[in-house]
This record gives sequence, C-alpha cells and structure tokens, in this order.
Amino acid sequence: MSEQMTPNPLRSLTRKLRSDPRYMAYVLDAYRRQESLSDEDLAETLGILPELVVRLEMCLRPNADSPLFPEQVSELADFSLTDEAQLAGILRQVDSLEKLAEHPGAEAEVETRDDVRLGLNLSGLLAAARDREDDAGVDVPTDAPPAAGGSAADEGPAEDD
Amino acid sequence: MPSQADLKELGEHLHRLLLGQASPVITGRIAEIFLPELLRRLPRIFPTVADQHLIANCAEDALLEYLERPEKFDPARGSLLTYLRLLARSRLLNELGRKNAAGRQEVVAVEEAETVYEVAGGAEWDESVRLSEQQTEQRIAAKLLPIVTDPTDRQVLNLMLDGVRETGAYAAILGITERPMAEQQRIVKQHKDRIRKLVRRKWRRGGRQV
Repeated sequence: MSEQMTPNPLRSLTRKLRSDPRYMAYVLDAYRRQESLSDEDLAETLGILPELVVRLEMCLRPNADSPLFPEQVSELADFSLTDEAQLAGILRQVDSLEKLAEHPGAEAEVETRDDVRLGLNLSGLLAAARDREDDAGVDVPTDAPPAAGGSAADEGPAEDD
Repeated sequence: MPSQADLKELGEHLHRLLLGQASPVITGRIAEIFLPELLRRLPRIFPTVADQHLIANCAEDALLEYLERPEKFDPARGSLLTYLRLLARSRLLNELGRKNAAGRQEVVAVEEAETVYEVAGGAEWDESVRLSEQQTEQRIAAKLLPIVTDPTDRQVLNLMLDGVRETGAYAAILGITERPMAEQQRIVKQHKDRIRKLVRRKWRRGGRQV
C-alpha cells in the first residue's frame, strides 16, 4: 500500500488543530514558523517519518509547568519516535515565547498574541527565549532547537547499527 | 490480532482514557482509528454527494467535537464509532440542507433510521475499526520495517507505536522480567532510546528513499 494510493486522511485534521494551543499541532506549527521551516523541513529536523509528524501533531500538548511534563514528553517521544530532549526543547521554546509575549516588556516587539501564534516577527523573542533557557540550564542536549538540521550528536558513532 | 470482543471495547477503553486525561497520545490514537473509518462510511450514507471535501470536513469536525466534549458520549447507548458517525451525519445534513435551500444540491441519505446511537451491526464496525487501525499501522510500519530489522527491536518498536507504557510488557520481550524493577526500567529506556536513535539516523541518511 503506497502513500500515493492512500493519502493520509489525518493531515487535514492536523491543519485544523494548528490553531488550538492544547494540541501538539499548534506547538509544532509555532516552532516551524519561528524557525522558518517548511513541513518537510520540520520532519527532517525531528528526524522522523512525515506520518509520525502527523501522529505527533494529533497528540495533546504537555504542560511544561506540570510535574508530569517529563513523563508525558517521554510518552509522546515513544509514540512518535521523536527525540525526547529535542521535543522537550521545542515545547519549552514555544512556551517561553508565549510567556514572553504576555510580558509587558515584550509589547514593543509583539503587537498581539495572535502574532505569536502565527510566529510573526519573533526573531527578538526567539533569541530572548533561547537565552532564558540557557540561563535556566534547561536540559536540551543533542537535537535541541534551534538547530534546524541534524546535530553533531546524530552523526556520531553508530553504536546501534 | 485482537479478538472481536477486544475491538468492541477499544472505543470505550480509549474514551475512558480520554476522560481521565491519562495520556497525551490518546487523542492521536482515537483519530488514527476512527477518522479513516468515518471517511469511508460517510460517502456510502450520502451517495449523491460529490463534494468529498465537505464530507471530510464534517467527519473531522465530528471528531473534534467529540474530543472537545467527550463526556457527551455515553458508551451505554452505543459505540463510539456510531456516535461519531451520527455527529458527522448531522453536520453533513445541516450543510447539505443549507445548500439545498439555495437550490444547489439534491440530498439523498441512505439508511440511518437510528434516532439514538444504537450499535448497528456491531461485528461489522468492529471489523472496520480493526482495518482502520491496521491501515494506519501499516502505513508507518511499511517505512519502518526496512529500518528496524532486528526481531526483538521490532517488537519493542511495535509496543512504542501502540502507546504501551508498562515496563513489564517491554521487559517480557527483552527477557529481563526477573531483574529488579529499577534495572528493568533502565534497560527498557536504553532500548527505546536506541531504537529511536536508529530510526532517526537511518531516516535522515536516506531511509526516506525506502
């Protein structure tokens, strides 16, 4: 059964979910826009099949402030074969930008919250979010955003080959 | 392969997990199983409707409506699939009615005398659910199997893709059930990480050509 014969019926659904902050579709779309990635680039960045990106998009977004966050990220990573640390980094990056957008100091750079959701004019906020994560010592090792391509860690020795 | 009884309970099981907000992947599992089935069934109910985009749109909205308010579904009254089908049917009839009022389309709906979401032909839709799930799994598996060739790794991979969280299930495959739980958890995590890494590396290096 080829993908050409049976296009994934879930893609259209995930496009609808991109406007709903409760879903991973929203998070990944926000990240994609922040990093100026195409859909294909996003799959490449995550290093997973496009079908698994769609699968991930349909899942609920873990709350970064919840004690269950690590477990839920782990569950999402297993379900979509995503790198756990990279996924946590993406979630925290999008979270940070949302919080920065709500901060009064960010008003000059972000006109509306919708701008953030659409990922518009966010270069300054993005840099600030990264700085903040660095300062906080967020555990985002190998494939953490903002690296759009593969990281050096991915090209390391293939101990599992 | 799960039995018919297992399949009949699948919708209820996922529904309970959704209500309990037990897992972030439940919405994905529900969508993967039930949306393709809705998309197959609605055109049969509305054979004169040529607008497949409209049908798909109503099926998607029905699923989203359920995910938004799952408490409205009462498993005692029927299956989840029948409930979703009725939601989609209602939306589609409304849309078609609007178009019909504007003189744009003649609507013919086949079957569906049910006024509550009673299960009609339970075995039939159970089989459909199974096929929907299989198709989604096959779509993913077809691309992953050439990458993950070790039989044990494949079994572990299947559990991961099925959303299985219990360490014991993985430990059984890996033959480590006699070890202390902490060690089982560590070994299972190592295996999962290694498989994820393997898939990611090979996919990036050209697995997409498979």
